[in-house]
Amino acid sequence: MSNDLKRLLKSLIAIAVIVLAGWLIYHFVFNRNKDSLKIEDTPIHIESIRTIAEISTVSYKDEVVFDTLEYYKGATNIFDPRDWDRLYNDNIKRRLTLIIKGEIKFGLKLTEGNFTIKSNGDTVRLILPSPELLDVIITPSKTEVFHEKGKWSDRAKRQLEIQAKFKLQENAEKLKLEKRAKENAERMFHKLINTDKHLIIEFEQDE
Amino acid sequence: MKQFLFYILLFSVLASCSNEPDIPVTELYEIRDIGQLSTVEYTIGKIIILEDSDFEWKDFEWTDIEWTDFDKLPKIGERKLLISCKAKVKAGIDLTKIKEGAIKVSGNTIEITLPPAEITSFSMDPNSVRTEMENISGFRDEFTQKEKTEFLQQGEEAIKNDMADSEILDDARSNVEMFLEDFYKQLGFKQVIISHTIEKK
Repeated sequence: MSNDLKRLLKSLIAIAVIVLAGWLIYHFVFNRNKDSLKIEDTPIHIESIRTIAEISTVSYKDEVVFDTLEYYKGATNIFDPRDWDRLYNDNIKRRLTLIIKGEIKFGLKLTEGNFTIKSNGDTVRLILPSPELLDVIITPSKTEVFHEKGKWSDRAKRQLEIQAKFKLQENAEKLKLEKRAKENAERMFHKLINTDKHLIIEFEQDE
Repeated sequence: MKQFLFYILLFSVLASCSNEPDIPVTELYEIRDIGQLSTVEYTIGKIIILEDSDFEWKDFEWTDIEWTDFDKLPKIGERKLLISCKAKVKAGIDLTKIKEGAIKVSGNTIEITLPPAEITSFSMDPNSVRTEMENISGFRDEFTQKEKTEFLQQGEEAIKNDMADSEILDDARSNVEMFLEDFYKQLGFKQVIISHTIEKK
Protein backbone atom coordinates (compact mmCIF):
# COMPACT_ATOMS: atom_id res chain seq x y z
CA MET A 1 0.00 0.00 0.00
CA SER A 2 1.44 3.32 -0.99
CA ASN A 3 2.10 6.06 1.55
CA ASP A 4 -0.47 8.30 -0.12
CA LEU A 5 -3.18 5.70 0.27
CA LYS A 6 -2.24 5.16 3.92
CA ARG A 7 -2.39 8.88 4.54
CA LEU A 8 -5.77 9.10 2.82
CA LEU A 9 -7.13 6.24 4.95
CA LYS A 10 -5.81 7.85 8.15
CA SER A 11 -7.41 11.15 7.17
CA LEU A 12 -10.75 9.46 6.44
CA ILE A 13 -10.65 7.62 9.78
CA ALA A 14 -9.77 10.86 11.58
CA ILE A 15 -12.70 12.65 9.88
CA ALA A 16 -15.04 9.79 10.78
CA VAL A 17 -13.89 9.90 14.43
CA ILE A 18 -14.36 13.69 14.58
CA VAL A 19 -17.86 13.42 13.02
CA LEU A 20 -18.84 10.63 15.44
CA ALA A 21 -17.50 12.57 18.44
CA GLY A 22 -19.37 15.70 17.31
CA TRP A 23 -22.56 13.73 16.81
CA LEU A 24 -22.29 12.12 20.25
CA ILE A 25 -21.53 15.46 21.98
CA TYR A 26 -24.50 17.04 20.21
CA HIS A 27 -26.91 14.31 21.26
CA PHE A 28 -25.51 13.78 24.76
CA VAL A 29 -25.13 17.38 25.73
CA PHE A 30 -27.17 19.80 23.69
CA ASN A 31 -30.02 18.02 21.99
CA ARG A 32 -33.40 18.37 23.64
CA ASN A 33 -35.66 15.39 24.19
CA LYS A 34 -38.20 15.22 21.43
CA ASP A 35 -40.12 12.50 23.24
CA SER A 36 -43.06 13.97 25.08
CA LEU A 37 -42.24 14.15 28.79
CA LYS A 38 -44.92 13.02 31.20
CA ILE A 39 -45.91 15.00 34.28
CA GLU A 40 -46.11 13.29 37.65
CA ASP A 41 -49.43 12.07 38.97
CA THR A 42 -50.43 14.62 41.64
CA PRO A 43 -53.85 14.99 43.26
CA ILE A 44 -56.22 17.84 42.54
CA HIS A 45 -57.46 19.96 45.44
CA ILE A 46 -60.85 21.62 45.53
CA GLU A 47 -60.33 25.23 46.59
CA SER A 48 -63.93 26.42 46.53
CA ILE A 49 -67.45 25.32 45.67
CA ARG A 50 -70.01 27.95 44.72
CA THR A 51 -73.71 27.56 44.06
CA ILE A 52 -74.69 29.43 40.92
CA ALA A 53 -77.63 29.65 38.56
CA GLU A 54 -76.60 30.61 35.05
CA ILE A 55 -78.43 29.84 31.85
CA SER A 56 -76.11 29.96 28.84
CA THR A 57 -78.08 30.44 25.65
CA VAL A 58 -75.50 31.37 23.00
CA SER A 59 -72.01 29.99 22.46
CA TYR A 60 -69.49 31.74 20.26
CA LYS A 61 -66.30 29.89 19.27
CA ASP A 62 -63.44 31.69 17.63
CA GLU A 63 -59.73 31.39 16.96
CA VAL A 64 -57.26 34.23 17.37
CA VAL A 65 -53.62 34.47 16.41
CA PHE A 66 -51.20 36.57 18.44
CA ASP A 67 -47.74 37.19 17.16
CA THR A 68 -45.02 39.14 18.92
CA LEU A 69 -41.70 40.03 17.32
CA GLU A 70 -38.41 41.57 18.33
CA TYR A 71 -35.98 42.68 15.61
CA TYR A 72 -32.21 43.03 15.80
CA LYS A 73 -31.13 46.60 16.33
CA GLY A 74 -28.81 48.40 13.90
CA ALA A 75 -28.01 47.70 10.25
CA THR A 76 -27.05 44.23 9.02
CA ASN A 77 -23.53 43.86 7.70
CA ILE A 78 -23.66 41.14 5.06
CA PHE A 79 -19.87 40.90 5.07
CA ASP A 80 -19.84 39.93 8.77
CA PRO A 81 -20.51 36.19 9.28
CA ARG A 82 -21.98 36.97 12.72
CA ASP A 83 -24.79 38.85 10.99
CA TRP A 84 -25.66 36.05 8.54
CA ASP A 85 -28.14 34.68 11.06
CA ARG A 86 -30.06 37.95 10.68
CA LEU A 87 -30.39 37.42 6.92
CA TYR A 88 -31.60 33.88 7.41
CA ASN A 89 -34.17 34.97 10.00
CA ASP A 90 -35.48 38.14 8.29
CA ASN A 91 -33.70 40.24 10.96
CA ILE A 92 -35.98 38.71 13.61
CA LYS A 93 -34.27 38.20 16.97
CA ARG A 94 -37.19 36.70 18.93
CA ARG A 95 -40.68 35.65 17.96
CA LEU A 96 -43.58 34.02 19.76
CA THR A 97 -46.79 33.13 17.96
CA LEU A 98 -49.81 31.66 19.68
CA ILE A 99 -52.99 30.29 18.13
CA ILE A 100 -55.76 30.28 20.70
CA LYS A 101 -59.20 28.76 20.25
CA GLY A 102 -61.68 30.10 22.74
CA GLU A 103 -65.35 29.96 23.57
CA ILE A 104 -67.59 32.73 24.82
CA LYS A 105 -70.97 32.14 26.39
CA PHE A 106 -73.79 34.62 26.72
CA GLY A 107 -76.80 34.09 28.87
CA LEU A 108 -78.66 34.94 32.04
CA LYS A 109 -77.20 35.18 35.52
CA LEU A 110 -79.93 34.12 37.94
CA THR A 111 -77.55 33.40 40.81
CA GLU A 112 -79.04 35.91 43.24
CA GLY A 113 -82.56 34.79 42.39
CA ASN A 114 -82.85 38.04 40.44
CA PHE A 115 -85.92 37.16 38.43
CA THR A 116 -89.54 37.91 39.14
CA ILE A 117 -92.62 35.87 38.39
CA LYS A 118 -96.01 37.57 38.54
CA SER A 119 -99.13 35.55 38.05
CA ASN A 120 -102.32 37.47 37.42
CA GLY A 121 -105.49 35.65 36.34
CA ASP A 122 -104.72 33.99 33.04
CA THR A 123 -101.37 35.76 32.53
CA VAL A 124 -97.91 34.84 33.80
CA ARG A 125 -95.30 37.59 33.56
CA LEU A 126 -91.64 36.55 33.91
CA ILE A 127 -89.12 39.35 34.33
CA LEU A 128 -85.55 38.22 33.70
CA PRO A 129 -82.22 40.04 33.93
CA SER A 130 -80.68 41.12 30.65
CA PRO A 131 -78.36 38.60 28.96
CA GLU A 132 -74.70 39.16 29.62
CA LEU A 133 -71.32 37.65 28.98
CA LEU A 134 -71.00 34.63 31.26
CA ASP A 135 -67.76 32.93 30.30
CA VAL A 136 -64.63 33.56 28.27
CA ILE A 137 -63.13 30.11 28.10
CA ILE A 138 -59.57 29.45 27.09
CA THR A 139 -57.63 26.33 28.03
CA PRO A 140 -54.12 24.98 27.43
CA SER A 141 -55.54 22.21 25.24
CA LYS A 142 -56.87 24.85 22.84
CA THR A 143 -53.66 26.88 22.93
CA GLU A 144 -50.97 26.16 20.38
CA VAL A 145 -47.48 27.62 20.47
CA PHE A 146 -47.23 27.86 16.70
CA HIS A 147 -43.75 29.39 16.60
CA GLU A 148 -41.16 30.11 19.26
CA LYS A 149 -37.79 31.63 18.54
CA GLY A 150 -35.55 32.87 21.31
CA LYS A 151 -36.22 32.82 25.03
CA TRP A 152 -39.67 33.90 26.23
CA SER A 153 -40.77 34.42 29.79
CA ASP A 154 -44.01 33.09 31.28
CA ARG A 155 -45.12 36.67 31.71
CA ALA A 156 -44.74 37.43 27.99
CA LYS A 157 -46.80 34.36 27.07
CA ARG A 158 -49.43 35.23 29.69
CA GLN A 159 -49.71 38.74 28.24
CA LEU A 160 -50.41 37.28 24.81
CA GLU A 161 -53.05 34.94 26.23
CA ILE A 162 -54.75 37.81 28.06
CA GLN A 163 -54.74 39.88 24.87
CA ALA A 164 -56.25 36.90 23.05
CA LYS A 165 -59.00 36.71 25.67
CA PHE A 166 -59.83 40.38 25.16
CA LYS A 167 -59.77 39.93 21.39
CA LEU A 168 -62.22 37.01 21.62
CA GLN A 169 -64.51 39.09 23.81
CA GLU A 170 -64.24 42.06 21.44
CA ASN A 171 -65.06 39.87 18.42
CA ALA A 172 -68.09 38.42 20.21
CA GLU A 173 -69.39 41.84 21.28
CA LYS A 174 -69.22 43.09 17.69
CA LEU A 175 -71.71 40.40 16.72
CA LYS A 176 -74.31 41.73 19.18
CA LEU A 177 -75.22 38.30 20.48
CA GLU A 178 -77.34 39.64 23.34
CA LYS A 179 -80.40 39.75 21.03
CA ARG A 180 -79.91 36.13 20.06
CA ALA A 181 -79.31 35.23 23.70
CA LYS A 182 -82.66 36.83 24.62
CA GLU A 183 -84.54 34.98 21.88
CA ASN A 184 -83.05 31.66 22.97
CA ALA A 185 -83.81 32.38 26.64
CA GLU A 186 -87.43 33.11 25.73
CA ARG A 187 -87.64 29.84 23.82
CA MET A 188 -86.09 28.00 26.75
CA PHE A 189 -88.51 29.40 29.34
CA HIS A 190 -91.52 28.77 27.08
CA LYS A 191 -90.37 25.12 27.05
CA LEU A 192 -89.88 25.02 30.84
CA ILE A 193 -93.11 26.78 31.72
CA ASN A 194 -95.62 24.36 30.37
CA THR A 195 -98.76 26.38 31.05
CA ASP A 196 -102.09 27.15 29.43
CA LYS A 197 -101.85 30.70 30.72
CA HIS A 198 -100.59 33.55 28.55
CA LEU A 199 -96.84 33.81 29.19
CA ILE A 200 -95.10 37.17 28.87
CA ILE A 201 -91.30 37.19 29.14
CA GLU A 202 -89.59 40.52 29.68
CA PHE A 203 -86.01 41.52 30.25
CA GLU A 204 -84.98 44.14 32.75
CA GLN A 205 -83.74 46.69 30.19
CA ASP A 206 -86.89 46.36 28.09
CA GLU A 207 -88.78 48.99 30.10
CA MET B 1 -15.14 41.51 -7.64
CA LYS B 2 -15.38 37.71 -7.06
CA GLN B 3 -15.68 38.28 -3.32
CA PHE B 4 -18.47 40.81 -3.87
CA LEU B 5 -20.36 38.35 -6.09
CA PHE B 6 -19.92 35.67 -3.45
CA TYR B 7 -21.55 37.89 -0.81
CA ILE B 8 -24.41 38.84 -3.15
CA LEU B 9 -24.98 35.14 -3.80
CA LEU B 10 -24.78 34.37 -0.07
CA PHE B 11 -27.23 37.17 0.74
CA SER B 12 -29.70 35.86 -1.88
CA VAL B 13 -29.43 32.30 -0.60
CA LEU B 14 -29.85 33.23 3.08
CA ALA B 15 -32.67 35.66 2.41
CA SER B 16 -34.53 33.18 0.21
CA CYS B 17 -34.08 30.35 2.73
CA SER B 18 -35.67 32.27 5.56
CA ASN B 19 -37.10 29.90 8.15
CA GLU B 20 -39.75 32.31 9.41
CA PRO B 21 -43.16 30.65 9.03
CA ASP B 22 -46.24 32.23 7.53
CA ILE B 23 -48.64 33.07 10.31
CA PRO B 24 -52.07 31.58 9.66
CA VAL B 25 -54.94 34.01 9.32
CA THR B 26 -58.19 32.77 10.77
CA GLU B 27 -61.59 34.11 9.86
CA LEU B 28 -63.76 31.23 10.95
CA TYR B 29 -66.02 31.41 13.90
CA GLU B 30 -69.04 29.50 15.06
CA ILE B 31 -72.19 30.68 16.80
CA ARG B 32 -74.35 28.02 18.39
CA ASP B 33 -77.68 28.14 20.20
CA ILE B 34 -77.34 26.34 23.51
CA GLY B 35 -79.37 25.99 26.69
CA GLN B 36 -77.22 25.02 29.64
CA LEU B 37 -78.28 25.58 33.21
CA SER B 38 -75.12 25.66 35.34
CA THR B 39 -75.74 25.36 39.05
CA VAL B 40 -72.35 24.74 40.64
CA GLU B 41 -68.86 26.10 40.13
CA TYR B 42 -65.76 24.34 41.46
CA THR B 43 -62.35 25.98 41.63
CA ILE B 44 -59.75 23.23 41.34
CA GLY B 45 -56.04 23.61 42.03
CA LYS B 46 -53.29 21.35 40.79
CA ILE B 47 -49.52 21.26 41.05
CA ILE B 48 -47.82 20.09 37.89
CA ILE B 49 -44.50 18.41 38.60
CA LEU B 50 -42.04 17.44 35.92
CA GLU B 51 -38.65 15.85 36.45
CA ASP B 52 -36.44 15.36 33.43
CA SER B 53 -33.66 13.80 35.47
CA ASP B 54 -30.00 12.95 35.21
CA PHE B 55 -29.28 9.85 33.25
CA GLU B 56 -28.62 6.69 35.22
CA TRP B 57 -25.59 5.11 33.56
CA LYS B 58 -26.11 1.85 35.43
CA ASP B 59 -29.50 1.43 33.74
CA PHE B 60 -28.17 2.25 30.31
CA GLU B 61 -27.62 -0.48 27.75
CA TRP B 62 -26.21 0.45 24.38
CA THR B 63 -27.87 -2.62 22.91
CA ASP B 64 -31.30 -1.16 23.77
CA ILE B 65 -30.69 1.82 21.52
CA GLU B 66 -31.58 1.71 17.86
CA TRP B 67 -29.74 3.98 15.45
CA THR B 68 -32.88 6.03 15.08
CA ASP B 69 -33.44 6.50 18.85
CA PHE B 70 -31.31 9.63 19.16
CA ASP B 71 -33.67 11.06 21.80
CA LYS B 72 -33.02 8.15 24.13
CA LEU B 73 -29.33 8.91 24.38
CA PRO B 74 -28.25 10.12 27.80
CA LYS B 75 -28.19 13.84 28.60
CA ILE B 76 -25.87 15.49 31.07
CA GLY B 77 -27.77 17.42 33.72
CA GLU B 78 -31.38 17.54 34.83
CA ARG B 79 -34.41 19.75 34.50
CA LYS B 80 -37.12 20.19 37.11
CA LEU B 81 -40.31 22.17 36.85
CA LEU B 82 -43.15 22.92 39.21
CA ILE B 83 -46.21 24.80 37.96
CA SER B 84 -49.32 25.64 39.97
CA CYS B 85 -52.57 26.14 38.11
CA LYS B 86 -56.27 26.58 38.77
CA ALA B 87 -59.28 25.56 36.76
CA LYS B 88 -62.86 26.76 37.05
CA VAL B 89 -65.35 24.02 36.32
CA LYS B 90 -69.10 24.54 36.05
CA ALA B 91 -71.68 21.77 36.00
CA GLY B 92 -75.41 21.58 35.47
CA ILE B 93 -77.84 20.22 32.91
CA ASP B 94 -78.46 20.77 29.23
CA LEU B 95 -82.02 22.10 29.03
CA THR B 96 -82.15 21.40 25.29
CA LYS B 97 -81.98 17.68 26.15
CA ILE B 98 -85.30 17.79 28.00
CA LYS B 99 -87.43 15.46 25.94
CA GLU B 100 -90.86 16.11 24.54
CA GLY B 101 -93.41 15.09 27.15
CA ALA B 102 -90.87 15.25 30.00
CA ILE B 103 -92.86 18.03 31.68
CA LYS B 104 -96.30 16.96 32.88
CA VAL B 105 -98.74 19.29 34.60
CA SER B 106 -101.69 18.05 36.61
CA GLY B 107 -103.53 20.74 38.57
CA ASN B 108 -101.11 22.19 41.10
CA THR B 109 -98.53 19.46 40.51
CA ILE B 110 -95.71 19.55 37.97
CA GLU B 111 -93.57 16.56 37.16
CA ILE B 112 -90.33 16.99 35.22
CA THR B 113 -87.75 14.46 34.04
CA LEU B 114 -84.34 16.05 33.62
CA PRO B 115 -81.37 14.90 31.56
CA PRO B 116 -78.23 13.74 33.44
CA ALA B 117 -75.96 16.37 34.98
CA GLU B 118 -72.83 17.21 33.02
CA ILE B 119 -69.82 19.50 33.00
CA THR B 120 -70.97 22.67 31.24
CA SER B 121 -67.75 24.65 31.20
CA PHE B 122 -64.05 24.19 31.91
CA SER B 123 -61.60 27.05 31.85
CA MET B 124 -58.04 27.70 32.97
CA ASP B 125 -57.34 31.38 33.21
CA PRO B 126 -53.76 32.34 32.21
CA ASN B 127 -53.57 34.52 35.34
CA SER B 128 -53.98 31.46 37.53
CA VAL B 129 -51.00 29.62 36.03
CA ARG B 130 -47.66 30.23 37.72
CA THR B 131 -44.22 28.63 37.47
CA GLU B 132 -43.27 28.07 41.12
CA MET B 133 -39.88 26.47 40.54
CA GLU B 134 -37.65 25.82 37.55
CA ASN B 135 -34.24 24.22 37.95
CA ILE B 136 -31.87 23.44 35.10
CA SER B 137 -28.46 21.88 35.67
CA GLY B 138 -25.60 20.56 33.55
CA PHE B 139 -25.83 21.15 29.84
CA ARG B 140 -29.59 20.96 29.61
CA ASP B 141 -31.76 23.46 27.75
CA GLU B 142 -34.27 25.60 29.57
CA PHE B 143 -37.95 24.72 29.25
CA THR B 144 -39.55 26.40 26.27
CA GLN B 145 -43.05 27.89 26.31
CA LYS B 146 -44.06 25.13 23.90
CA GLU B 147 -42.98 22.48 26.42
CA LYS B 148 -44.68 24.27 29.31
CA THR B 149 -47.91 24.46 27.26
CA GLU B 150 -47.68 20.70 26.66
CA PHE B 151 -47.30 20.07 30.42
CA LEU B 152 -50.28 22.30 31.11
CA GLN B 153 -52.29 20.34 28.53
CA GLN B 154 -51.41 17.15 30.42
CA GLY B 155 -52.39 18.86 33.68
CA GLU B 156 -55.73 19.89 32.17
CA GLU B 157 -56.39 16.33 31.06
CA ALA B 158 -55.49 15.03 34.54
CA ILE B 159 -57.89 17.51 36.19
CA LYS B 160 -60.68 16.46 33.81
CA ASN B 161 -60.06 12.78 34.60
CA ASP B 162 -59.92 13.40 38.37
CA MET B 163 -63.14 15.46 38.23
CA ALA B 164 -64.99 12.24 37.43
CA ASP B 165 -64.31 11.08 41.01
CA SER B 166 -65.47 14.36 42.57
CA GLU B 167 -69.00 15.15 43.66
CA ILE B 168 -69.48 17.97 41.19
CA LEU B 169 -72.23 16.19 39.23
CA ASP B 170 -74.13 15.24 42.39
CA ASP B 171 -73.90 18.85 43.60
CA ALA B 172 -75.05 20.10 40.21
CA ARG B 173 -78.01 17.70 40.22
CA SER B 174 -79.21 18.69 43.70
CA ASN B 175 -78.75 22.41 42.93
CA VAL B 176 -80.77 22.04 39.70
CA GLU B 177 -83.54 20.41 41.73
CA MET B 178 -83.48 23.24 44.27
CA PHE B 179 -83.51 25.91 41.55
CA LEU B 180 -86.38 24.36 39.61
CA GLU B 181 -88.41 23.64 42.73
CA ASP B 182 -88.11 27.26 43.78
CA PHE B 183 -88.86 28.43 40.23
CA TYR B 184 -92.01 26.33 39.82
CA LYS B 185 -93.26 27.18 43.32
CA GLN B 186 -92.98 30.86 42.42
CA LEU B 187 -95.08 30.04 39.35
CA GLY B 188 -97.80 28.79 41.65
CA PHE B 189 -97.30 25.02 41.69
CA LYS B 190 -97.80 23.40 45.07
CA GLN B 191 -95.93 20.18 44.33
CA VAL B 192 -92.85 19.76 42.16
CA ILE B 193 -91.69 16.25 41.31
CA ILE B 194 -88.25 16.07 39.73
CA SER B 195 -86.61 12.94 38.39
CA HIS B 196 -83.43 12.43 36.38
CA THR B 197 -82.77 10.31 33.35
CA ILE B 198 -80.21 7.66 34.27
CA GLU B 199 -76.99 8.13 32.40
CA LYS B 200 -76.05 5.25 30.10
CA LYS B 201 -72.47 4.13 30.73
